[in-house]
Amino acid sequence: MNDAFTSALSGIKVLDLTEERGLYAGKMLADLGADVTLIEEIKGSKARRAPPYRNDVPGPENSLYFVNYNTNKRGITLNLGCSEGQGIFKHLVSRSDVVVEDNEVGFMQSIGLDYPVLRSLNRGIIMASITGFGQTGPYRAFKASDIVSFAMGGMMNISGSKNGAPVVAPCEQSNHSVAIAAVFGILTALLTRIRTGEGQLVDASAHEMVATCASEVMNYSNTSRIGQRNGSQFGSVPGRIYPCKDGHVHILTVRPNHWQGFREVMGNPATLMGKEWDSGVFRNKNVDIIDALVTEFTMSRTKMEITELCQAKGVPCTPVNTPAEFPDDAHIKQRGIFIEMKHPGIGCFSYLAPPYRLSRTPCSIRRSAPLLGQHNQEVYCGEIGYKPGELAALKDKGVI
Amino acid sequence: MTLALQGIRVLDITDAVAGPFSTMMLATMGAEVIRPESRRHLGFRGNPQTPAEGDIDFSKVDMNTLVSPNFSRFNLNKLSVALNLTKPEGREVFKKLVKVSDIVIDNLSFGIVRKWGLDYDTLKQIKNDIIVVNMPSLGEGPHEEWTTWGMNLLSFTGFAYSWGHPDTIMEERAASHYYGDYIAGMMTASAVLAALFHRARTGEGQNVEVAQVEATASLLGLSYMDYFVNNRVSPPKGNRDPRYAPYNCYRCKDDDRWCVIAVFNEDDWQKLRRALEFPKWAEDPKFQNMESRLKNTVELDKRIEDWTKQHTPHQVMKILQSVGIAAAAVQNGENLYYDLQLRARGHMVELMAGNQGPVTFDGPPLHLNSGQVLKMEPAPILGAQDNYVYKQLLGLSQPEIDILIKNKVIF
Repeated sequence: MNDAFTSALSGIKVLDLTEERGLYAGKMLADLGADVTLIEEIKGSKARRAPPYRNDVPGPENSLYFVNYNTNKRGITLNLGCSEGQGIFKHLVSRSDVVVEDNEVGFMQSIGLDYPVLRSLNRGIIMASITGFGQTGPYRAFKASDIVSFAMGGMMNISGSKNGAPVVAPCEQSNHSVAIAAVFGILTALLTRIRTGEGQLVDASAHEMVATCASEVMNYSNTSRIGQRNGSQFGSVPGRIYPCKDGHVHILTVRPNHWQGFREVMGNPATLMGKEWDSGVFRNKNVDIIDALVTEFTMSRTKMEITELCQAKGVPCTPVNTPAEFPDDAHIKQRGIFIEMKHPGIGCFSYLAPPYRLSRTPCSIRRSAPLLGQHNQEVYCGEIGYKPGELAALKDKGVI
Repeated sequence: MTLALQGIRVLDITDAVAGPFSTMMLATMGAEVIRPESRRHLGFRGNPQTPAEGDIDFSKVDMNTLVSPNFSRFNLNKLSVALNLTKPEGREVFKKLVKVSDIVIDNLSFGIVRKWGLDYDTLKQIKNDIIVVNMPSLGEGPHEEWTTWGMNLLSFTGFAYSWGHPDTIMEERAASHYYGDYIAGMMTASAVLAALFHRARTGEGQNVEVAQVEATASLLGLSYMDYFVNNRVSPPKGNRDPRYAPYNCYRCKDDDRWCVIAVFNEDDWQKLRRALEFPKWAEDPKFQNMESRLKNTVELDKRIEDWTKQHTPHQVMKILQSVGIAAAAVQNGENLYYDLQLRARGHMVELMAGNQGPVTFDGPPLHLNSGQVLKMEPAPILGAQDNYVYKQLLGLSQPEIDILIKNKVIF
């Protein structure tokens, strides 16, 4: 009956102008079923020049970074710097639902394509602007890359070892996380539009998203204390990554039952049996005594042995994996979260499926990342009606 | 102003961080989020600030007003109803609530919702278009029963492995916070909206599952791809970027203060030289272009740090951002609290948190033109909305309510 809606966002048209910070937003919408068209400048998106590359050989169709974040999107080229290109973009906007962009604040206005203009063409258009500091406020014009947002948002200061420098997270997490927040805003706006017919501007700031994830505002407000780096340690001791016979395990004893369970797993060592050890505060003052006993226990066992022993007692414990070991885990294999993909430049490879499982409208990976200009013909001729000759002329003029 | 999710009712049986954060996001857009909770299991409601900092003596705490700051943080704008789901009668009451709700969301231990008959297959018999959302740690499979916290999953997915300096030992890598929980929460909230959108167009409900391990793994897609395509596992790369120099975190004046500087091209480099008042060392041919700077990063970083060490982190940011270079203070908790930008954007929300008095929280990390809640409400005390739920929504009489209280169903 609802064959037209096999995906949650079937039929929703998204124009994706992002190059870095917002790339995952378009991908997430595409995974949920939207028709997402990545619009690249003529020489190709900046993301095509981002490592890692297949066999470390740079090239527009060789960037794993580009492929990872653009799988499921279609791709066209368009020069937004010229008035003819801007005119074509406006035409696309008039027949689309969502525009996602991650330019510096003010850029869209400088090329005459900011939200008020787009709205005048299509009052239902939803525009998401994904930036380092947001569209307003005293820092809005500051330059922001991933590391800047990670630092300003407070995650960096609490990441790393006690005596080392703060360290940024892998895979551009300030970009990644704010893109997810923007999608939440876009979907909210889509729902609102059903009732009102009106689109709106979604203003997402990496600074705010990272600050939210860091939890430091509430910490300071409530305790007047400043969070410190402490490696992998969280909560009460033992609560970190420990070495074992064949690698490492991550053990936590946040709650009293975790501690009691773990003590049992260690064979109830006499040293730790006093009631005072039930207090997390006391344990944290006696790190060395606990660490010596924990390490003695872990070093004689494998990560899976330790994990199974702990889990049997309700103690949160997992093996520590590398990105190569994780896909090989029995559970992960059974869940089938890595799927086979094929890309003309990259070849065949395993690719991570989307994490949202919607029973009636499942996510699907429908296409690999677009080659540069791959869908020009399909979009310009097939959908907005240019003749092949006109397309060639636009190409000669450097518009497409 | 009509709120975006006005009229959407959510039954929230989540605890800890990921679940409550996802429903709080829905609440900030106007959904009515009701938390059935019970004194039998207080969970995060009864948690001290960080578990290590103090062990609460529950016998001395007034349970009726107990709202820990951590609980407050993730439960703003919600309603609370005292309902003991461990009792069969409690589950029957819950099912009556399902009839007048749109979404049920849980992150209970694996198997509990099925055991309690609160799974999608059962609930859709009660309400045909219900959206039932499960947020398991790992989901069905060999490790389905594992208990994990977000930090465990950073380690399990390979995220922790990749989060450090090249020489950081595994034990010291940065897997110490709730980052994965926030991501799973935000992703789940989005998946819920996608399901609502589908329901709005077709009238169909469905079952949504976001396993936290999979949400966490999605952050690391690029590393898995690098492994599958290039057959390698890169060691943690720290703060440097192989394309740019200078690009790093640098020590500033005073103990444990830091800044970051990112120079992306020659134009940036010339601006940096000017901002540093043309130091002699920067004229050396070994720093003349990106390629040569990348070959001499150790010396380059030392030179830059000689300069940053004479300034505070915010001074570095001010000097360099004034000329258009991407630079920032590595802000600590105190800096964030006094952050001009966050304050100017209305990101901060000051509210009462139980009997702790006013506490400042992060508000939503995105802003809509309309439809978003502008004035947040504090987290509810346990059972604050019992009257509304039992009398108004379910139409129970006082004697019926009294029996439920007596039988510790309302508890």
